[in-house]
Amino acid sequence: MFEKMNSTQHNWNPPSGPTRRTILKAAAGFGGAAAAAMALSACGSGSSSSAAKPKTGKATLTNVEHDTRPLDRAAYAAVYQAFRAKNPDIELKFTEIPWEQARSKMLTLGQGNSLPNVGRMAWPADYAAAGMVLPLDDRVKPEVLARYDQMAIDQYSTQGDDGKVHLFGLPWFAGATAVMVNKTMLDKAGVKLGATWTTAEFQDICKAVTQTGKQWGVTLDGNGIGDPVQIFLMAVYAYGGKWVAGDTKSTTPEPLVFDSPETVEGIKWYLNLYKSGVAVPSAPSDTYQQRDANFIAGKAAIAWQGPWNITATQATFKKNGFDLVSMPLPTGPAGNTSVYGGGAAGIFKSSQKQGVVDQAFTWIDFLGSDEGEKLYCKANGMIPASKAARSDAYWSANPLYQGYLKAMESTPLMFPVWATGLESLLDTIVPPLLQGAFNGQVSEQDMAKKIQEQVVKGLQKNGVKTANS
Amino acid sequence: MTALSSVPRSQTKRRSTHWRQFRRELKRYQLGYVFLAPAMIILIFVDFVPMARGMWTSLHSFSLFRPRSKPFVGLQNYRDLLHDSLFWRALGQTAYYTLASVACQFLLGLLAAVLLNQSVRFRAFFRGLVLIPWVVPGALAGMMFALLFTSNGLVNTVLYHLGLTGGIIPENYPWLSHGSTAMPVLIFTSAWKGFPFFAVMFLAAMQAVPSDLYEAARVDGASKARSFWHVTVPGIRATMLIASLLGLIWTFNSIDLIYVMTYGGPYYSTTTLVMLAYQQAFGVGQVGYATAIAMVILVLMGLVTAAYLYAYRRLVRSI
Repeated sequence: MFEKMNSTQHNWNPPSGPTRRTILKAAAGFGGAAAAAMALSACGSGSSSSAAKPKTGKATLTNVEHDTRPLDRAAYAAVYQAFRAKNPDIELKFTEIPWEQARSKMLTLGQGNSLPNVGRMAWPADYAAAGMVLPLDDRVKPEVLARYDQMAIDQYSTQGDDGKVHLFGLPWFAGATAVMVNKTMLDKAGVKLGATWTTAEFQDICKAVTQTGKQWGVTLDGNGIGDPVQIFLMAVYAYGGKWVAGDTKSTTPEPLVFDSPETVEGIKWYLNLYKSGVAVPSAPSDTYQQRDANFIAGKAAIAWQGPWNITATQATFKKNGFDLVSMPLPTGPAGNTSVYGGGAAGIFKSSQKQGVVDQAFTWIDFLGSDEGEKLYCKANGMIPASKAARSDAYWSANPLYQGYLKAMESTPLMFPVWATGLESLLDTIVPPLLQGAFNGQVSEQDMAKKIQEQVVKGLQKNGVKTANS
Repeated sequence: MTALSSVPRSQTKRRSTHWRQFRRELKRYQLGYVFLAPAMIILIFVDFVPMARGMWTSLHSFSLFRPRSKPFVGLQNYRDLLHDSLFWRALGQTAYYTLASVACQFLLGLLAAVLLNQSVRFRAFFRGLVLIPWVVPGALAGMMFALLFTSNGLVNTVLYHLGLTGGIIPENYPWLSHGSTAMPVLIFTSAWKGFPFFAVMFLAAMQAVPSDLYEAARVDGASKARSFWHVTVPGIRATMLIASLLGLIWTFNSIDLIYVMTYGGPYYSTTTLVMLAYQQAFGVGQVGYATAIAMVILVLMGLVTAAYLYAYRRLVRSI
């Protein structure tokens, strides 16, 4: 780096200015700063997918999925084997985008005209608004729709880019959130469980189980996407909080009423679980993975949970010598309202460009059939979406599934259909506020008010008309 | 009148002289420009075109959920930024995170370089060992430190056995769940991850400092500390500047540790500008607004680089 020094003067002479290498290094670093701008600007452009058009019924389709556990892969493999036996001309390539990155990647793939052909309809409202998916109304027969709970259909029916409500996904597994309980921990604490519980009883049980510094009553998650919002909202709904006063299926915007006294009460109850010390203290920074890990390890006795993990949790509990039971959601002054979830498959617009819509539909139709659902769900422990398939003794006779099956029958649609992108907005808006509220930096009233304000602002920025000023 | 008319003539003459010089230079280094051309073309397409497109996007209201409608809004996104309290908070936190991280990396790197510059047994082994944090992927380092600092993680266990919990530090304290400790933990992780780069740079520079300078200092009766201050530090000053600049730019733009360890929380306490841009683009779908934030980052980094080049020239002139 330095030139030769003059040893008699004990002095050295550096170059007279920045060397070319130095400037290049600085430029390279400066270029790094441009990366964020470039990555974001890339969203605006895209190139066409170059898949060849099939001549007849033969086609190779790309299927996208966000569940990436080995159990889920095995489940897909079971369905695919049966599908190929019946449809040898249709080949599928399975691609996975994990949940954490799924929404942003799918939306940017849509921007870049690089969508897969078929696959998981995880955020139908967002996809439909972005013009990424094809409506299925004309293809799905009424007798097929009659197989499902109304909620399963409502969940995947949303406003398309033509402003009308269409069906965009065909369900193949479903579930609603209930509560999983480590019965062994409750027994040790001398707590007896009834068939149902109120929010007050829930808190008392958590208190009875908690041994500060060692084990806690409940594990919560205040970080990440999806679960922190859904669990928080179930607490709010139990106290009567809601998004709109009228029909959520209406496509006409009506004022959002989330910042109501009922919502505040629900928030108070939920936050009190943490503030009173009956919840695992790392809740503000825990994601759903850490929440599940706390429960599985016996660090907490209770966890809100969908049926997605029953098989895996049961296996680990067995190893750890714990007894697992499921309970319905605790009932508040307004009852208990779960959040409906599950999986539906839809067809992306790339299939239309490549002329493989029929083949894509053949696949999702098989996946959603009795045979497809059962093959898939028995392999990974999920619950089939159709009523007929889940009447199989595998689910109907298993006590662990009862809380979930009951919740699925009575879960209403809580998000208004017209509020496109609401779910995505909540994933960004709620967790930081929840963390602030857990730590006492945000009051319950402020939290309800801020959620409402930021949702209205976010919807308006996304071009959604709202009835709030 | 005569004087006035002579000005343009002299300017024209000077211009034509410059032009001739330029053409002569071009001819002289023709081969060099030919070799440079492919790199320049790639740079234009992968760097400058997307950057220009980013600037253009920042002038539009572009929602990821309504991509077909991108109305031109001029500087509205930048005006909104000025009134966004979260942007200012993120800017402050970015400065705090960057400066504290780089300062820690610098000091740890300097200390490691000094130690590794000594004649000790297994020196090569220790030099290799120091590099480990640098080669660990950021996401993995983030996961590792998040586990270390969880309520029943190793850090709390060690503190408990040392008898340090129960007073100022509560038992089972979840470090990443509180705003007051989440950022220091991130800085600690960033310092651990980034110090080997400084160590390697400083070590290389230290080895280039002629040994007879130390010899002379020793003969003059200088202590080790004085010889470090008056021989080593001036000898590696230029490297210190380069490493600091690169460290600043990398840390300012980094998102991996924050994304994995806190996702900007709790309650925005670790939201930096890059994290905010990411959340705005892919969380709330405001790509136009997010790109405006990215443009601000670009300008800030440009200013840092310019300041560095200025400081470097001054340093060189002062020597």
